[in-house]
Amino acid sequence: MNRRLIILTGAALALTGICVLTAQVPKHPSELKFESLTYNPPRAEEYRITLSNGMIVYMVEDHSLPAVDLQAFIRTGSIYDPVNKKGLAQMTGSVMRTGGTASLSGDELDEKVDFLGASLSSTIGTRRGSASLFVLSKDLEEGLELFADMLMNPVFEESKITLYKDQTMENLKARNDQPRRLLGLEFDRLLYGDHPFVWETDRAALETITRDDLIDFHNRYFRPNNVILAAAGDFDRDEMVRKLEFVFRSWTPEEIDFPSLPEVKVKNRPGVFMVQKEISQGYVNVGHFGVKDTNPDLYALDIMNFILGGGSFTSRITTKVRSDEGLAYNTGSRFVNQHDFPGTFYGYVQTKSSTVQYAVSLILDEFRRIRSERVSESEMETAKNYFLDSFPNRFSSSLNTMAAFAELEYDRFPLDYYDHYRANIEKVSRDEVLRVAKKYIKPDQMSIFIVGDIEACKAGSPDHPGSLEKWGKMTVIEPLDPMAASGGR
Amino acid sequence: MNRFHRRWAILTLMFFILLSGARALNLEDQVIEHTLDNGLRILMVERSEVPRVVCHIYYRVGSIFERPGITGISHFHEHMMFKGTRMMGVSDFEADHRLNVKIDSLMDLVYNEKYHKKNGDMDAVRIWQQQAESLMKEEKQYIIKDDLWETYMRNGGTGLNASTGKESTGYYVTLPANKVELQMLLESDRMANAYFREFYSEKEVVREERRLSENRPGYLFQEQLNATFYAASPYSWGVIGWDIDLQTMTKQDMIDFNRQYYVPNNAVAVYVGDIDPQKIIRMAEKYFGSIPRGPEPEPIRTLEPPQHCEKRLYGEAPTMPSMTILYHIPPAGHPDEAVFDVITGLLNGRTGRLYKSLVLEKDLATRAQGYGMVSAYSGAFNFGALPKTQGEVTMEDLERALVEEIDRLKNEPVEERELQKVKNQTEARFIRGLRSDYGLAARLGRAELYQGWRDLDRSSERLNAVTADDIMRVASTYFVKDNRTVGILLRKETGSRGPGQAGRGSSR
Repeated sequence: MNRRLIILTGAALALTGICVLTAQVPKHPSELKFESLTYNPPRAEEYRITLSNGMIVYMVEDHSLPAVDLQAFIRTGSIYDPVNKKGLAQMTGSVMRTGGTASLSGDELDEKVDFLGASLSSTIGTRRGSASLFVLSKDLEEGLELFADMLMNPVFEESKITLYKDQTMENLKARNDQPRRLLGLEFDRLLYGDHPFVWETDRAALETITRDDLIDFHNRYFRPNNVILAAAGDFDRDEMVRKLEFVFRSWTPEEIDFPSLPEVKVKNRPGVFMVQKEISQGYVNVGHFGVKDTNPDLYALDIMNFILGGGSFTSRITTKVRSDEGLAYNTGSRFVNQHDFPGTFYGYVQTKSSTVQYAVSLILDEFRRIRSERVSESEMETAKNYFLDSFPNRFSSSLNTMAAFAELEYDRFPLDYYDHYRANIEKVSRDEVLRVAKKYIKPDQMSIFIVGDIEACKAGSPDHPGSLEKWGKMTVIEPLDPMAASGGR
Repeated sequence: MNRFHRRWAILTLMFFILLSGARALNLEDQVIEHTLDNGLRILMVERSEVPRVVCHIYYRVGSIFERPGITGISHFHEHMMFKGTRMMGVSDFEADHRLNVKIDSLMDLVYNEKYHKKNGDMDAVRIWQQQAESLMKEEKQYIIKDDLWETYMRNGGTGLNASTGKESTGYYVTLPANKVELQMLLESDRMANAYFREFYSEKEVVREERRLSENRPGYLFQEQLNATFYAASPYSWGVIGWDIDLQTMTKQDMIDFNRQYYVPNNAVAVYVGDIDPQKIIRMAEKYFGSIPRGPEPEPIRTLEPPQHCEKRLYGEAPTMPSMTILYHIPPAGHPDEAVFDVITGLLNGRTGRLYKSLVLEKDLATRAQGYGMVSAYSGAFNFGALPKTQGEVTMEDLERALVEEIDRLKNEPVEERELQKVKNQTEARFIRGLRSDYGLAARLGRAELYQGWRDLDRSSERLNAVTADDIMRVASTYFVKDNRTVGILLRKETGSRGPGQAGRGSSR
């Protein structure tokens, strides 16, 4: 990170030296005076190059350790799974790494990677593929060869496909074991319905997917012009460019034909939804559809949610539900933003069955409060200061910085996003916060989703009587059974 | 080009060593240490890429310093450290204190009647409890909610957290480089002046945290397995503690605990980032320097006695079946420590022996691992595997296969290349661990509480000295039947239908 500037004002620096020696210990943090600090974030375009095959690379030298990190982002994802082959993307991402290449068997590749003490990985998530390499700089050439080989020439050995299927089958059986995970899956399934965005693999799909499917999927998306690479570490920049050109020399660009995706039907599902589980707590989400990450109100939303339930202990929900009432260890609210689809917004809490109703009512109260009156000056100041003062943290390591730039480009944000970030935060007013709270939080549209012991949650406690039904019709949800012959819905 | 080495000699030196291709990367060249007169140790590493500083403070306390009756208090105390002091969290300290004295005496009556009498007067309990609750409501007017946390956040604090383990407790914040003084003020204040308001509601938060663990299927089995494995030493209970102890623990227990362990001579402060070490030292003198040294905390007395006979534990839970085999191993600092590190390296990963044998070759398991858990007083070596449930694999098959691999360690000298692989991996992992400022601070701080941070530099040297004979000798000494506990967890069928239960028994 050589091209950035820290200006510590000289006068302040000298003064502090004296103060530290002579001053009394302050009686309160408000008495502390800090020297000023100016921070100019690194600028994406200074690190960006394009290889001759179209691959975009963000790279920076960092000689603090004798090692190199690479992280590739590949434009693909399980959103492109065919309807009868749910799980294909994920399987491709995993077996790419384990199933060998044109020149090395999977086991040989593993031996080489492990002998170097390197780390090589590949995964495909919902809307992004990624691959990474960590290698000591003395082994950089060999590491790069293995990394490129995996990306370009995977052969998906049958034995490793079988192994992947066996392991995944065990995971499918455990799908509904952990209440927290179960809640997340079922809450999303309620809102998004039957959409590729929330598809999960199942027994039927696993049995259908073949090696040819993996080869085709890889072929379709793994092209240099569809890759954004972040690289940081102990290398010479020019030499690194030459090395990358060399290892990826046989990789040819090709126009990628992305399947069109069905629209998400944005229809909230007000009511109470429950999944039965014999546990001592209710795991609860209270929410509805949210926003895309391209929404211009995002800065105001970040500040609003920080105050509401995103700013951990400084937020209203945590203060009320956890700190005041001792009802829960985890509670708060969050916006999960998506790029191509609207995301979700929800409050969450896990509390003993008898206090589920009470905790939910407190969360709903906070939803209504933030929509009905402006937040205080002091809350606003804390939230803004947090976002402004913690900003440099995003660039805490050279790899993080390069990956942050790669992600900007991946999500098609302007490359100067970080140059304007702080000004955009500063611009947000209390009126704006109120406006976005009113616009994006709809208390009468909430799905109250509970995983827990239904009877115990319904019974509540004598101290806080009431019924779950007051929030709408109650529906018992049968969780997805990915091992069922039909493969669920 | 103008890079990291522009300001300080130490980094320049390190840079030079790296450029010259030498592999002598070690912490000795990077860490600056200082000890205050009251015993507080300070470790600093300068890294000026970004104007921020990772600030951690560690105390040599955790669940192994507890005793029956107050299990879980280290962790509960860590929660209470966010509840304020004389300076923080309260608008009128004296008024708040007067209320707390009343609340505590009422709650002592409640606890005594409720928990320690055979036929306690429950009507009296209700009345006292109601009185205490109305005082707690009254107290709210004086409480400034989560004052310390908010002050940190308002100043751009990130990575804000605390954690309690069996052997150490840490408090973390990352601040802009110009605001380290805030951490010094707040941390010295809570080291010296912690005040435990909102004790009773926070207790319920901790109990909810325990319930979260209990509701993770398999947790209760693991808790029992740990308690079975350790017969006597304080490693036998978990960090969260037993629920009955959480219920009965008093405010006075908390105060006594605080006085014993939260003293400067029992702590290490670590600063990694864009710092001027001399300035940090001056600031630390100013803020922490006036806190008096405390008596040295009591040493741990009950170390784990020899086991003498094999133990086996069977259980069921609504989750994946699993097999665990635990062996006692000596504490950190023992000459065999590095041998266990090498054995851990031999067993794990895709080219590790357990995965190769149990998953790839024998097709019995979907996951298998074996790792040494080094600890300050009483370690464990943990072998574990998840059986493949699609076929006819039995737990007996799985145990036999695990034991075969354990016996192989005893009987078959490891090949040179395999040993070299483990050494390479360990060296790379060491370097990898230095990438994150946060991770570096954590490793330095925790090591300093026990064997000293310099020990981290010696670990790769020790590891490189391990031979094939050492591995056979150590495996034969410790991996024996009378020294082990076997845990077998089977899937429990619950009332509601879970995945795959319709098709149970039908294997492909």
